[in-house]
Amino acid sequence: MRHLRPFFIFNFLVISMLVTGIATAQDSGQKSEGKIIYQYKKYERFDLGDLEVQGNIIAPGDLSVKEKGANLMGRPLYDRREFSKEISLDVHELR
Amino acid sequence: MRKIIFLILIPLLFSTVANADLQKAYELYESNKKQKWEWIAYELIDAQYFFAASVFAKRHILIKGEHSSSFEEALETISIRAGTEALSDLPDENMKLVKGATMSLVLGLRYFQQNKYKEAIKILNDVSEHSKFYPEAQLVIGSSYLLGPKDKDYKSNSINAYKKCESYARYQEKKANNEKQIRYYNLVRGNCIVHQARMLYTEKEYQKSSEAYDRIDKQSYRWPYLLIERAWASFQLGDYNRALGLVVTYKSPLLESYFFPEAEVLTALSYHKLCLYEDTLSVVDGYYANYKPKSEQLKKLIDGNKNDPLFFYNLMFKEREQKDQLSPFVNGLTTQIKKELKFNFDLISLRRAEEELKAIEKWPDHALKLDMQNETNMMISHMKKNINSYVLQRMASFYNDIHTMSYELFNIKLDTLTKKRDLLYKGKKLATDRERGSIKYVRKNSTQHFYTFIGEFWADELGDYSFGLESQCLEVDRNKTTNIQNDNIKRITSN
Repeated sequence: MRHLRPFFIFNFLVISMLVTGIATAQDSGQKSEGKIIYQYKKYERFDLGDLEVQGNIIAPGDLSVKEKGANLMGRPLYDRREFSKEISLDVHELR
Repeated sequence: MRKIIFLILIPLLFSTVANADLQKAYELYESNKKQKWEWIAYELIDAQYFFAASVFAKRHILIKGEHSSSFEEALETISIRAGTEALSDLPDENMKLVKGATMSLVLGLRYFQQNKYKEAIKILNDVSEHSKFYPEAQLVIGSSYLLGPKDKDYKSNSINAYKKCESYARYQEKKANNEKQIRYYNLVRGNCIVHQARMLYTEKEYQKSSEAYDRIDKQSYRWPYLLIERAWASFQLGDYNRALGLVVTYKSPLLESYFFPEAEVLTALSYHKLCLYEDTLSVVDGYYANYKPKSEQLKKLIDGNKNDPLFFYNLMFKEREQKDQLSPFVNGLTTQIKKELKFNFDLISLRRAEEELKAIEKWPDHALKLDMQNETNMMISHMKKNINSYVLQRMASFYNDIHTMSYELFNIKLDTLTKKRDLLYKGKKLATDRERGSIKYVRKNSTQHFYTFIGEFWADELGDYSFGLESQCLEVDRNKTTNIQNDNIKRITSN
């Protein structure tokens, strides 16, 4: 029986290789069926004369001031709230 | 003939009585009696030397002498005839020990000037309503509530004090037996009304405040100074035409010495509120042209003489031509200060003290004479320095006002230019053109007079002017014709 051992090992290796080869062949066959090929346009044409920009067209000399910026310059105008100074001076005028 | 003899005898009799009082004072001065200072004060009051009497009354207080009802009466007379200032250089501790209305008023006034309002109220509440000083005490109490720390009742306390002041001043005015006292209590009563008006203004009750100001008589000393306050009340009520009319009163030839930088600001603001932008800018430009040279002249005068203890006192009594040489504006300013009550009261006291010194110099030689000459001279010197300091302070205050108001006018100018620019950028214009005023824009209430300008004396109308300008605060598209009914018109609010 001892002289049969190399034979078994050889067979086992051959069978393993065959099984692996079949599996690999099946797998590669499935992939080749769904393959996508991308292709870019070779050129695109732009008509520059047909370009349009939406919004108001202003002359380069026009100035624009934002409302917020304009208000920053302002401050409350003078307002008389009371006459404390005058009240105090009047008391000093007694006798 | 009998009348002539009587007229000759009366001064002689008074002179003899005065000399007798003086003789008693001499004897007391040399004695070692414990109450001699108090008694000398009485003798000098009887001899009509009130400043000299104040010296001995204060010495009596300093040695903690007895405070009898006679002594209280003496203090009252001194403060009425020589002014409260004559008694005001005692230390607080000594003044507190004296129980009586006179020293309570003197100490209350001192606390008020030191901004110690609570202490002022406490001490002035000691002044009885039977005292001659009750109206003044209530006036100071009302002002202390208003200017001091405010509790929940400060407003009612203040108004109550002012009302008491007014009613008791009226009572004293009726009771007074000489013209000076009548005028004085009339003045105090006017002060109480003005303070009520100011208090109402501070509380934003502008209509009531305006009505209170209208109660001040045109003949009152204070009336010209109050025009600007009345104008502010009208301004706050939105009656810009009335505000303009009130401040334009200062342009009258009768009031040429009353000029206030703040009146120009109020004029510019009123035009600005009516959107009369060109008028606003014209006022601002006029202010700079008018006040810039005045400010420079005043600065030169103040800087060059502020360390001289009597320059500003002497300036007040220089001839008109001499003051004009310094600057016509300085001349106008001194005239304005001369009309102020404080200046007048101080000057009257000074003149009385000077007259008293002249009379003392005629006394026979004695240690009391020397003592009184020194004391009265010191008082006179102190009074002159006080007047000098008051005039300097008023001039410096005026100079500061010019600059403060100049800054405020600059802001108004900036705001006006911004509004004009915004109109331009929005493609808008003001709906109406600036035209002459019309009566249909004049507002008036029941306390304001309306003159037809037919048959009246022109000066009667002073203080009752109102402009009749239409507000221009309506804007319309620039390319459209003016039609205020048009839907495109939008009323803008001028801030």
